Amino acid sequence: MVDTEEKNFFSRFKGLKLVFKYRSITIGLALVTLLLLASLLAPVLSTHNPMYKDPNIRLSAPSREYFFGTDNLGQDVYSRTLYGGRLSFLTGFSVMLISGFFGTLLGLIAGYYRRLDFIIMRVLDGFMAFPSILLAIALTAVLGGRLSNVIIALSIVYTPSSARVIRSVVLIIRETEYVEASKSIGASSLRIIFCHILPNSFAPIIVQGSYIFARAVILEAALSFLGVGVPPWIPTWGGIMSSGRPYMMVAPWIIFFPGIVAILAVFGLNFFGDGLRDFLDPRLRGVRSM
Amino acid sequence: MRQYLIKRILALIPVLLIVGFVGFLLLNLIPGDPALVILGPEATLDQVNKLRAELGLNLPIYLRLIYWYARLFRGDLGYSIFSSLPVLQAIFERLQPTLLLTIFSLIIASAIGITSGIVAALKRGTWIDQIATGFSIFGLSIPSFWLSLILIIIFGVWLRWFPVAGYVPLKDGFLKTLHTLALPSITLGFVDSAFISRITRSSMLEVMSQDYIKVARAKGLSYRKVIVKHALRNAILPIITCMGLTLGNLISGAVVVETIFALPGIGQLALSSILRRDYPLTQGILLFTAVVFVLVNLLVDILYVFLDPRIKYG
Amino acid sequence: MHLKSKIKKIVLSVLIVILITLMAGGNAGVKGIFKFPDTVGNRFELEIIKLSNKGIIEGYPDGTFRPNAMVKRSEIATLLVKVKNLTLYKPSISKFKDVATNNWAYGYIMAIQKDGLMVGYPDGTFKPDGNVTRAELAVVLGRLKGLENEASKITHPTITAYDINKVPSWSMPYVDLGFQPQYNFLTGRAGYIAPQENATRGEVAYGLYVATNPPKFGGTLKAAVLTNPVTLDTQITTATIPSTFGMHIFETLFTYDENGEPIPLLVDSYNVSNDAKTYTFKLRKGIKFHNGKEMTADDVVASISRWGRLSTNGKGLFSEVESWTALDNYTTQMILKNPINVPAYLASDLMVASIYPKEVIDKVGDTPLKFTPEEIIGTGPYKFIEFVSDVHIKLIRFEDYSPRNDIPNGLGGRRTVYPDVLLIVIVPDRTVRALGVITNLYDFAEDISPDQYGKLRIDPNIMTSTVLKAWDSSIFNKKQGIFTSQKMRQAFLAALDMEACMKGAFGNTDFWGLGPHLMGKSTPYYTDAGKKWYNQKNIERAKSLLAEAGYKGEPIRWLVSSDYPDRYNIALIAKDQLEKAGFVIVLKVVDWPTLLKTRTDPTLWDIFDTDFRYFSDPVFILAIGPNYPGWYVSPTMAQYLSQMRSETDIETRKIIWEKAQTLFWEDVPAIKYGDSMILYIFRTTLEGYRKYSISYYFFFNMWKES
Repeated sequence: MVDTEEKNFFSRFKGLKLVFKYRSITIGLALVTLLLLASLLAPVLSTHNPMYKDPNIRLSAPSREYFFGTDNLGQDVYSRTLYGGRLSFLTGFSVMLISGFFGTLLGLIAGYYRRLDFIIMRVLDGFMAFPSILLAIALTAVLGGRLSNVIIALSIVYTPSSARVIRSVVLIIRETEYVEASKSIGASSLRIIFCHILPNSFAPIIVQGSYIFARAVILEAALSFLGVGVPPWIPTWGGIMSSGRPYMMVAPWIIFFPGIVAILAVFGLNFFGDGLRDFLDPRLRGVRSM
Repeated sequence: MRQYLIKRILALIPVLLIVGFVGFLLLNLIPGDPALVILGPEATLDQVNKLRAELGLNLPIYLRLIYWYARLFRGDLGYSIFSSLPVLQAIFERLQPTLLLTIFSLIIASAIGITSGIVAALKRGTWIDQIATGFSIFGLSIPSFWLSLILIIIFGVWLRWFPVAGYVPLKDGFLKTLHTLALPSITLGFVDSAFISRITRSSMLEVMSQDYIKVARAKGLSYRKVIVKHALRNAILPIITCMGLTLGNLISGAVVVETIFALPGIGQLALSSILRRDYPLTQGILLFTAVVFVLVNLLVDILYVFLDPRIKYG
Repeated sequence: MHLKSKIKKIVLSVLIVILITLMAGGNAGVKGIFKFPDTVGNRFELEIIKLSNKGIIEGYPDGTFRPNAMVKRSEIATLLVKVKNLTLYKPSISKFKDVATNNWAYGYIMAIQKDGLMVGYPDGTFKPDGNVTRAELAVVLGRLKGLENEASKITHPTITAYDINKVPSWSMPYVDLGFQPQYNFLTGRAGYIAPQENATRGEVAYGLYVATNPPKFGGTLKAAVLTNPVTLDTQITTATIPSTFGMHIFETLFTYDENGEPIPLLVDSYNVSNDAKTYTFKLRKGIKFHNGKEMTADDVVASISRWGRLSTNGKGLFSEVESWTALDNYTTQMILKNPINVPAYLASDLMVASIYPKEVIDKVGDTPLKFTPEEIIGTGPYKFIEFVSDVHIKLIRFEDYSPRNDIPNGLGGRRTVYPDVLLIVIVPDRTVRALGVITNLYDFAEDISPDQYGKLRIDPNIMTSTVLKAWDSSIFNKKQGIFTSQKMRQAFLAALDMEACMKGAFGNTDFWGLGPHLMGKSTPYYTDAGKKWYNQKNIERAKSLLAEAGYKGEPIRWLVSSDYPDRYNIALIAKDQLEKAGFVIVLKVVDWPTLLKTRTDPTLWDIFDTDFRYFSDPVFILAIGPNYPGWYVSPTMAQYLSQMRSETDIETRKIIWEKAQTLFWEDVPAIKYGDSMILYIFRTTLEGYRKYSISYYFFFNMWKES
């Protein structure tokens, strides 16, 4: 006899306590939250105005007054890194949301509607065949070098991979029996998508999201570093490192410290994503094997 | 099987068409004018228009797109605006550093990645596993430009073991080439080893939990034999996929590394040609890298078919 | 347990890297130590340092070297002894009437007399306290090298100089030898040999060093530069890199001497009519192009005509030209509407009046030359071989080059190139350029960060050279928009603290300067006219001017290029100052091609940044002309400029220029922030000639140490 008991979305949360048994999730989340809080509390935690320029102390080494040293305009690298966190997290978060949203949309459509699948997948393949950094550079050049445009560009770059992941999940879920059962009782496609497929896709969406968040932060940093992202006086982590590039030999702290902070943030995100995936995976298999 | 191959190759065509189209569109939307760049800020409007006409830039955009596709089907990618070389030739001249960089990085990435992945899988749950996994996630989290700079400072300037930048072509000596590619390959290799390590680990874990492994162990086969003969061979597939993907992606990764280390490869050519608005060259490079990417994926899929008898295509 | 080890791992790696950073950081800011404070920038600095490192020559007890001081004959005797490692010779009876046996230099003087290096005067004296003259130096150095045989074969000089006839016959063969490329132990003084003048310590050091370390032909000189040249067509481009290297490939009719004055290069002689409106140029004969063809008047006429059509300088000159023709195969004539100093235009090292073969011009027309050896053909000592974009430009020595006979004099006189290959390597990253020279990948690099000066100065393998580069500037859009109002521009100027801007962007005070001058200190046109408007730092005044102008807070669009960090750093600092006065500034950063495109459209911007080279003549200054983006239309300024163009008397021109510069600061078509220097570095293995009046580098008469 076929077990048609539907596991709905919320039954998942009963196991929430178990989540924190996973070390990686805890540590990852803790790291990210720590850095996020630090940047949100930037006005409190920073020691100087991040935009205040004092040419007389330019390129000074880290000291008690300037924890991470100063850059070539005499700005405090520590305070800029704190504020930079806001922008970098904002970038990562926005890219994650936007590409997640459109990726999910496209993935759902492609996975569910066979006829559109072919076209959508070919287009996405086309985009994915572009080296991501070149695509990002070209898009930023078209739109102009502002943070909002960088976010748009990066979202476009990462949408295809989201879509791919969602689509493959959709393909799996579509074949499950309770979906077939719903179809047989005449549920509309839309209802199937929203009530069955989507809730079961959340897991991979979130996992993928965390990876995209991480990669967006790095790609934004790389773009700024190459000089094609945000203007270098805007303190994203990549922007700060980019401004330090000509002074690499005399003031390596400008590149070093924001780099370490970015690495820690991204590390936390990846760690969290890994743990989440490990946690959710058996559950996902559970759905399939019904 | 043949049918499958033909289907896949045919699927290439729309991909390439799209890449070509999107590339063309993007480039022509970027503000800026190569004629102005050549002539400089003091050029008169007349001079600029004349040069634009010569470069074929004054035609309406849809015409230019059609001409470009037409030439493409004849195998002609046009001429670079700046060096006047045929695009294909310009690309091939720069192929060597990128190709070598890709190969060396892949070797390093695979060596580190597969080893650490196997070790992590075998010692699952122990602190070795934790370190290996942590290490590989760390690798994922490092921006390649940051790592490049740190390596340059330590190994290039302080220790003087490697040159800080520049490339020596193969014809001047393989060892010298290796010397100039060492730091860049280590950078890319380290970052990509993370992916490979993770896939190796999860693939090994999956395989090792299968029944036939347990059977083999029960039969009394040595641990090593079990790992190498059975587990690895079956785990290898996703690993190869990953290596293939990495290969395709290395051209991307190469842009940053090539720029920092002043390696005259395709990645750096792509960046500088965009920054100079050298449309034909940029389009050519985009197309080229897309073709490579798709072909590599195809090869991996084919390899899959040969290696895994369980997969059937119809 | 797992947690602990993970944390330990992270902390440990972070600590290690912090340690490394602090070690690197700890080295920053070390003050440079150099051997002699008074040889910095001296043309003989390298040879002085090398000779002193060998223990041959020393400074004074107070640490100075005094390179321009005289050298006594007794002193040179001691130097010679040290160079040749002679044993002191103290015979009981002196050979010279005026050198007593207890003279401090007795042993030295006798030793070199015995060796035949210096024989004293016919009257039996040595004159130990007399100064060595340049002629005497030539003879001594020649003998030091054992060139007596070669000298005896020279009956007439093969070299020329302004005062060649003043060279005493006893020294003439050695003087001649000293200026020949394979010996090169003598240097000129702006085209003069000055044989009776006293030799300076610097000249003696140079001579002794090169006499014992002769120039070597061969090898590859690797010069690292900032960007790809967009074209090598030096007639058209206003970029420095192609122009500078282009001048090794192409030649001009005139060029600059050590003082920055134009002297003939491809021209043999010329005369000017009494009314100064007709110039007749006689060309040198037997000059070969790289394709083997001889240069004739047709090539010259075609080339200069093209330059006159395509370059801003050329257009300026040709607006006054009535006719420009070839009179015969080697003579050309220019007839002007008004008197103009034509050689000054033809000598310019930017927007260069290069001579190309007529066939090339016929083929390419007004299109810029492409990077192929079929189009890049000149008469210069280096020949173009290839350009690999983003990698290098390769030039090799042109074996059939026809050098002039006159002694090297700035960019004029004989141009000898010693390295077989000149490889211009493109290295966009400033730090990597410097590192490349430090690690001996390159012999030379331009545009190094002033912040590295301290470390580089004390590196024993590196010589630094600081040259005045340009003045940093912002240009207002005077055609359309908010800065059409003079009051607005004056308000902007009033708010600025130039010192803070320059310091923030350039740091080390050795590398920038302040001042309202638009012409360099080495020119006769240097003046501080307009100084009361420069560096006002007056926020209050700015506010009241803004009010008078009726400024309502409209955002000001400031265009900056992402490729030039120095400029946008200035903009960032200025922005803070201006905002205090009430300006609303929006910085738009774009890359160079977008900047060029955007600048042509007056609806898109209000102000942009650039820098202007220092030229040799005020009429070349771009910012004050009507065609340069910014569209400065001022009848008064135009009048001053046209007066300057036709006036040849320097004093009159100075007066006109002072008025023009004052007008600049009152009318403010553009802002000048300050002067910036550029730092070049050479490896100490690059020896030779180093006296150029202009701020860029050239590789003539330079060789790599053996």
